[in-house]
Amino acid sequence: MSEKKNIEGKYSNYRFNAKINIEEIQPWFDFDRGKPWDEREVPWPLENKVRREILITLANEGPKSFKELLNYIRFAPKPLLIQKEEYEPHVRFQWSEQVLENHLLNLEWYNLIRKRDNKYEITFPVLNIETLNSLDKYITLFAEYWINIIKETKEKVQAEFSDINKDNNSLYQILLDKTVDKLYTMLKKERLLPQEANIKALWAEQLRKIKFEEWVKDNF
Amino acid sequence: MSDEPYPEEILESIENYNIDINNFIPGHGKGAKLLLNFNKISGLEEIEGVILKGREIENGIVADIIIKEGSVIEDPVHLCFGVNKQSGIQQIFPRIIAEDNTEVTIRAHCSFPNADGLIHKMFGHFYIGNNCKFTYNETHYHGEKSGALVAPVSYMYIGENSIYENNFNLTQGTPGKVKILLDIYAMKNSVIRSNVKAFGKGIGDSIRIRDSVFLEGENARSVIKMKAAAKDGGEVLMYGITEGNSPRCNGHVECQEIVLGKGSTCRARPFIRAIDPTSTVSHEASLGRFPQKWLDELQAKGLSEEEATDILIEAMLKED
Repeated sequence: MSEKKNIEGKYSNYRFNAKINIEEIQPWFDFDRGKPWDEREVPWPLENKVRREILITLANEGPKSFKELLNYIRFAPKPLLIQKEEYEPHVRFQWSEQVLENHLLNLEWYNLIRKRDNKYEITFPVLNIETLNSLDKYITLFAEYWINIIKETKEKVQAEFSDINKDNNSLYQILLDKTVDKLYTMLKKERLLPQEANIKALWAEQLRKIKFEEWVKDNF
Repeated sequence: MSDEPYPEEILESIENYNIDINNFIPGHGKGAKLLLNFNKISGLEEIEGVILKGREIENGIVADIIIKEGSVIEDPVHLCFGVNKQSGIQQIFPRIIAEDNTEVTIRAHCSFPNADGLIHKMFGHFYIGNNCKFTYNETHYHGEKSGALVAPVSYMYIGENSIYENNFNLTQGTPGKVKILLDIYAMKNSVIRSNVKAFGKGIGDSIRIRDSVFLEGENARSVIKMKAAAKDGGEVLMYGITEGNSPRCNGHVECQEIVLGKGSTCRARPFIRAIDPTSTVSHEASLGRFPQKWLDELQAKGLSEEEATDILIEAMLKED
């Protein structure tokens, strides 16, 4: 069972997120999203599982050398139900040094990894389950403040904007988005955030692994 | 395993694709087979060289299919995932492992003739070893009410010197909401051919297919061919990705989509990327109507423009 988990988890552990917060709409931004047209929230290098696997390995195991990574990305699939005693397949997949080098250069170019002392390391934070739990109390605290304000102003907002808030909830998505933008601007004025034009935060969330383990527990 | 007879309307939908239904029924026809009636396994038959194992889970099944090393399987392995209920959830988790030096054709059919609020999901993994010849043919029928939500996701790894052919066909009935994601990883000297055909026939039909080939091995080659039509308010999005990540690899994405009737939408997003200096990747796409010359030639034989277009669509979707 643990072997099955490892094989599956190897490619399903993390969800990668990136968010770009902008200060003002500029001409080269997409009209629909108000964000730069050439920079999607999840950068395209993450569409490839080999590159995701490299990031997952570096996130889980810490800095690794080229040779170590070459060893980490090879794999041998195992069946889900058929036991080793019944039949054991021998299929193996191995990537060449040149292809791994291409992937690493690509990840370096997009600033997702960096090379230090001959070892590669990731450049963004990984939220594991413990970190997520620790963060949760602050997330809840922030949300509770917002709930109180929404409750307090609900009638006033409805009275003032009833023509664009016919279903009584569409306005809130707009209000929340605009509030977050305003919050960033105000936080910068208060010097509580770095003075960068755009704050780009990429992180990986250890979510799929937990979901997958729950699924395995329920079904096997 | 269920003893109930297999629903006839599901078998009929197989016949509509000109496939012999006998090959899908256990005890009849040749080849290994796995039949699913909603979330119950209603038939499972192994043959020499093929190991099949399935387990029913809540809302679906988990299945293993192994092609033993060196086996050349002459008759296709038949997989039928059918639901004749109007609504419900069917989830399938197949894992196919074809060992080195094998040859096999898998013929899968997903049929939901009465779908009206039905959800079908698949999360499949295909691992094809070295020196294999593997063909995967998948046909779909989602009834006539645009009432299905179909969302299969498959990850495929193709070993060295292997040939992998993927044929997906969703041209009968009304598709409903379809979201397909297919990622193929091609190792050294492998050859990938992926053909996707789909037809959205009404306002309730939205077909979005992402077909990706990642050329991960030296000299790996691939062709993605996507052909689709959207009619009377239907929507089609074909998203073909090819990445040249390895030395001397070569990939091509081709997309042809026909838009018919007001309110229909066709979109194509060929994404090609090259990160190896010796790789070659190309794409071509055409969307809109058929060339006027083709229509004129058929209309000169007495057909209306609509009849001529129907004939051309049928020919396009039948073409290899």
